[in-house]
Amino acid sequence: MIKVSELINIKYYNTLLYLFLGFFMMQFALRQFLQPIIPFTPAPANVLTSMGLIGTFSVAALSVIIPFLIYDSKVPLRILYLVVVTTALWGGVLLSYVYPTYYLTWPWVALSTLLWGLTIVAVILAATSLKPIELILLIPAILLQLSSLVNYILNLMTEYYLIPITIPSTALAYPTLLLVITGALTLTALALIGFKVSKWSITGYALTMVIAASITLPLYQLTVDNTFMQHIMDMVFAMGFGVLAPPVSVPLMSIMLGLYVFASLALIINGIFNNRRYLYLTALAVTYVSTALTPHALSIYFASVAASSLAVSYISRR
Amino acid sequence: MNRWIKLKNRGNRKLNLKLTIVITVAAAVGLIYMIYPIPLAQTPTGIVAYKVVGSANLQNPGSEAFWSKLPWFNVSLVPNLSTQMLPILANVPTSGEVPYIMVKAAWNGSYIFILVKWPDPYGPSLVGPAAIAGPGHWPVVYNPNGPLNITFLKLLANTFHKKYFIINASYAVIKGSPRPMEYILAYVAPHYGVYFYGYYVNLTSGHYYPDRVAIMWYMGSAQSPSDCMNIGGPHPGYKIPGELGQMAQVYLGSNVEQYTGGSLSSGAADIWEWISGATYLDGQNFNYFTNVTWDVENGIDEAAASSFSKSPHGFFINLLTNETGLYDIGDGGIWYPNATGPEPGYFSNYAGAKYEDGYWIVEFVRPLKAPMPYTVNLTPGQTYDVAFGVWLGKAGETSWDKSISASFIPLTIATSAPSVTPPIPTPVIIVAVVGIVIALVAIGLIFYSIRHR
Repeated sequence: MIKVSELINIKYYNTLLYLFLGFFMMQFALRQFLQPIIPFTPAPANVLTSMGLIGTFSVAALSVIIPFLIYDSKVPLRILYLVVVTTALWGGVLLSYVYPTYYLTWPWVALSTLLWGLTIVAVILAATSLKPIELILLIPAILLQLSSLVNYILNLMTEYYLIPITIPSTALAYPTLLLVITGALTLTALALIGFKVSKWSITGYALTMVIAASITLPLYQLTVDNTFMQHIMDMVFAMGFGVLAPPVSVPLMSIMLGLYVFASLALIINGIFNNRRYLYLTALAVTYVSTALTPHALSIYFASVAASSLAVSYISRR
Repeated sequence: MNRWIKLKNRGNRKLNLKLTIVITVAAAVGLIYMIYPIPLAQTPTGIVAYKVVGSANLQNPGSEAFWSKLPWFNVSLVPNLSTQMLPILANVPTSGEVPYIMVKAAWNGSYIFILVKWPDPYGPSLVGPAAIAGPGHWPVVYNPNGPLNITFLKLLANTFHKKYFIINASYAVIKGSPRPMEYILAYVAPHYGVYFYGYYVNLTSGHYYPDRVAIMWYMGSAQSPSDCMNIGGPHPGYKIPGELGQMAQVYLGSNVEQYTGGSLSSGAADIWEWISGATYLDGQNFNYFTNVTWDVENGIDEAAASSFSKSPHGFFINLLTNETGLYDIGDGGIWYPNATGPEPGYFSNYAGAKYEDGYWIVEFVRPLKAPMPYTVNLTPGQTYDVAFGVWLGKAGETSWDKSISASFIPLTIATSAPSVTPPIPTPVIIVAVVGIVIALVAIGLIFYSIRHR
């Protein structure tokens, strides 16, 4: 029989994961995506600014939740992860008052390299703990994340360790787009595989479809025959997601966006009504895909990827 | 059973307490962040300008001892006239001739040095003496899908009072600057079977353009601004006249061009531009600038011009781009409309250049303190957003047709000197990278086997 204390711990850990997932999605929608777009929107700026404030709230809250989540992930090296991630998240904030250019000093560069390495190890740890079918369907997301991590270190090697490595980063532009597209399809497949017939999950799926469609359909209708709107929305995609794609592909991109929204929400429905594991997989997919296209200029991006990876690895071995 | 319930209740209380603490701390920290602007923790990214000892050698750029300690930062370039960068209708085949530019940066306490190097297989272009900006910017138009639509071409040329000549059934050349018609060439003409091919080049008759390199320093406040300049008209809200305007309306829903060509979507930027024909000692038009009378006629500060004429040096010009347009700084408008009157700091920008083994090497040197209004003021310890643009004149790249970095890149002026790192041979790096990959895979496999034991 399972022990009470263990049951309580699982409950506690699951709640932390829900909070992590919720805050991460909020920071993505209201900060990472919204902030670059705010200066361009004709809508009243104060509404968007207050939405941006909620995004900032989420980032700060996320910086608190992540160390707790890592501390309770019973995985190898967890204390090292805890120390490095907490230092990278909060040490940087403290140092910015004492020594504003801290991020250029050698101890910080070394710490960032360590954080980078630990993030890669966490991704591998998570990948090896997935079931074969999950691994296959999550491979695009994993590759997206790994390619952005490789890009980061090449940059760091050249500028901070003064080791010249000349690999053009834009050579990765089209493979990345391909991974984004296949990722949308495989994630949707993962969500559909996990579907279980029950009153609530059918309702949940129906709602999820409505939400995804209400984002995709207007965008698709708006851009499918209208070159001008394609151009406008293409700039929004470029600014918000960091994806540069030809404007004619905006209708296709809007379908992909809809698939991502559907897959993420449907995976959450699976997690709530079917198997908790799906919530962990959602956290993994969402953090990997959404941080892959943005330069890793903030510690929180590394920390989020590490936290979701460790969480998946932990519940797989539990 | 009772004991179990008791245990469960106690456990639940403990759980609630733990969760309450975590959530309270998270909410409190989040609220503090909403009220006070607290910075988020950063990681190191981008180009670094290290503090060095020494000064520039404009006669032989790149030869200074301090450069040998710094590696090149590789910036990939993309065609700016491509559907990947701009919402235009078709890619322009001659745009993006330069695949990359390599960059090093340093400062010595009062001056910043930026060294750039890019491949130019066409050889240096020193451009003919016809005009300061080189010969006429004649656009070549074509139809990749069949014969050129001559009716539309005629209408286009007539609307803007230009002449044209036909090369063959699919190609023609419009004689005259396309600046007022750039927007139509990009967004309307392809619908009517007329596409922009690039600029007319005739190497035998000397009809080609200067080689150029530009660094754009972002001075706005947008978080992730685009470094790609807008395609547009001579001024914001320009109305395309007559029948051409009606034809534009069919596809764009409007005959008004929202932007000025060369303007920026968000904020402003200072552009440092080096032009082989005009600001380079060996350029065929450099002598215009050593002529004080010409300088004064063109709105350049007289005192600056006369001291420059006594000891001429390579330099670069400053341009301002903002949401309303693109402007010259410190002259009366030699290339674009002027943003300022004459400025004493006009020649305080230095540039050294040389063409060697198929590469251009150009060194930009400028005081950290802004020498003119609208130019960027550089402070050690700060991070700036920079972007790069390169034109191969003999390949037909000029004005809006160029290669640019896909986005802004952070450049930090470090307060520290470069660490003394012995140069590491490439094989060692390759072995190290392969080793790291193997090690990572091994670590993964070990964890995997632990889990399955």
